[in-house]
Amino acid sequence: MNTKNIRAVRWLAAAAVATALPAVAFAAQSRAVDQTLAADPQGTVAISNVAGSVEVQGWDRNEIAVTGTLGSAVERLDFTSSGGRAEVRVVLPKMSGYRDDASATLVIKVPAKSALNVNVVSADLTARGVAGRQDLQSVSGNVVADGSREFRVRSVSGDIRLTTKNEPAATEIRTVSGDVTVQGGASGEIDFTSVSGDARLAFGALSRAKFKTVSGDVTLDAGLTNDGRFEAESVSGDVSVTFAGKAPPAQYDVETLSGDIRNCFGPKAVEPRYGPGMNLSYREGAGTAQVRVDTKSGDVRLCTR
Amino acid sequence: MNEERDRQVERRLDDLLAGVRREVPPSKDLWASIEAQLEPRASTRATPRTRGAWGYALAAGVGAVALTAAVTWELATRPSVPVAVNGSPAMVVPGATPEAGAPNRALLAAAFEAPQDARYRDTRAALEKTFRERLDLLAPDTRTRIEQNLAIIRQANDDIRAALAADPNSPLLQQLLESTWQQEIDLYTTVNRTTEPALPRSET
Repeated sequence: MNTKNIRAVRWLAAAAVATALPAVAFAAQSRAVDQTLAADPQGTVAISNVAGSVEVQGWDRNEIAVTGTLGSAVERLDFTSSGGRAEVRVVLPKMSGYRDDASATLVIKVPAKSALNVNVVSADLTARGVAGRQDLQSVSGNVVADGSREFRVRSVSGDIRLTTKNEPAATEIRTVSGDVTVQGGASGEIDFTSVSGDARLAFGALSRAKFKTVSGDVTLDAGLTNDGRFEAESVSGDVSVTFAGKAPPAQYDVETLSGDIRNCFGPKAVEPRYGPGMNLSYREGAGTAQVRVDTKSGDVRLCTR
Repeated sequence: MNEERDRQVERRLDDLLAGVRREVPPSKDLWASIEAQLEPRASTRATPRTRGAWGYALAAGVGAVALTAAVTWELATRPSVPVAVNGSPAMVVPGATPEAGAPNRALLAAAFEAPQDARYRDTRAALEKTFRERLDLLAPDTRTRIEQNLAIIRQANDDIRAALAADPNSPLLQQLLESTWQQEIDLYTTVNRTTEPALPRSET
């Protein structure tokens, strides 16, 4: 090997070391987590993490297992389980400013019938196969969850995607600008509030549905039980409902101040002789259910499939 | 618009007056003694007793006028409380500043302000203070998204209040206005709770 080659090899080695150093340093500073504790099979698991990700999985053991990685700026992980309550909390030190290694990536396995209470800020959250009540709150992280018959989800800008259990389910969602997709079960109740986030939902048959938005659009594909109540209110958001099968036997009261009403069944909406707006008020069949839609400038569409 | 506000004021006064007790039953049945004295005095001029009744009626009238004026004055001069703080312009219903000859606007604005309860205001201020401190702990892009969403909430609050000024009796707008206050509190709470810094284990 001549001098030129030796020099080239030295340069290559130096470059390789320089490239690998940050990764080695990160590995040295970030910490792996692998802890397991016994848990109540139907207890509540509270989880809190600011950044990174949280993935919760239901399993058939009466214990909670936490695995993952803590960033170097994370102070510690508090993991406790006592009585019917367990807690997994990523604790940050008292800091004066942001540090990009103050995040944690966690996979948490919990008894399948547990209830969840999860708080994240920018961490993405996934909860799968947990049958108890899921109370999930996020600021900007996305939320994906399934397996429960009772959801209460709040997000600021994170998108929400839920699949409820295929049995009577109660779902309550509140978002500011996050978009929401719900694949509901055979029946259930939904309560949705948004500022500008859109909602796209599908259910078998709803017994109670309540939508309130400022500018978010609501698109619903669902049946309505014979005594069901559907209420949608928006300022400028559009409301589009496709009822499964025949038009539900309901009293329909639809009103908009400056939007448009299009209905594929029943009489056509009327415009008042004086003043703006449109309204549609009539009874379909026995009129046992109730459908009420009120918008200021949002359009309304009612159809069947 | 003014007619609408006048109606709003009238409705408020009606509500207040509806709460006033209309009948006060006497402590004992006075009719027997009244009947005994009624016949001989029927044709005479007003007696001291009836003059007294006129006096009571006059006093009641003056009282009602004073009550109405006091209620109107109190509502019309109630200070408007800005919903937003910390660097963003305060949101006040258009026309909330009392103007000469236009007290109804202030009355209307007062109806759409955030709850005035001192405990609520203190709690909200404390939550927002902590929220501002904790924002510094978050990644810049997260901070930006949170600020953007706070702006969305406050803009929605602004828009709804403007819409309420035109349609003050809309239950839809009133409910949505309340929900924007709740959304803001939810945002503070979620950020504060999740970013709670480490305390010594004995304190946790």
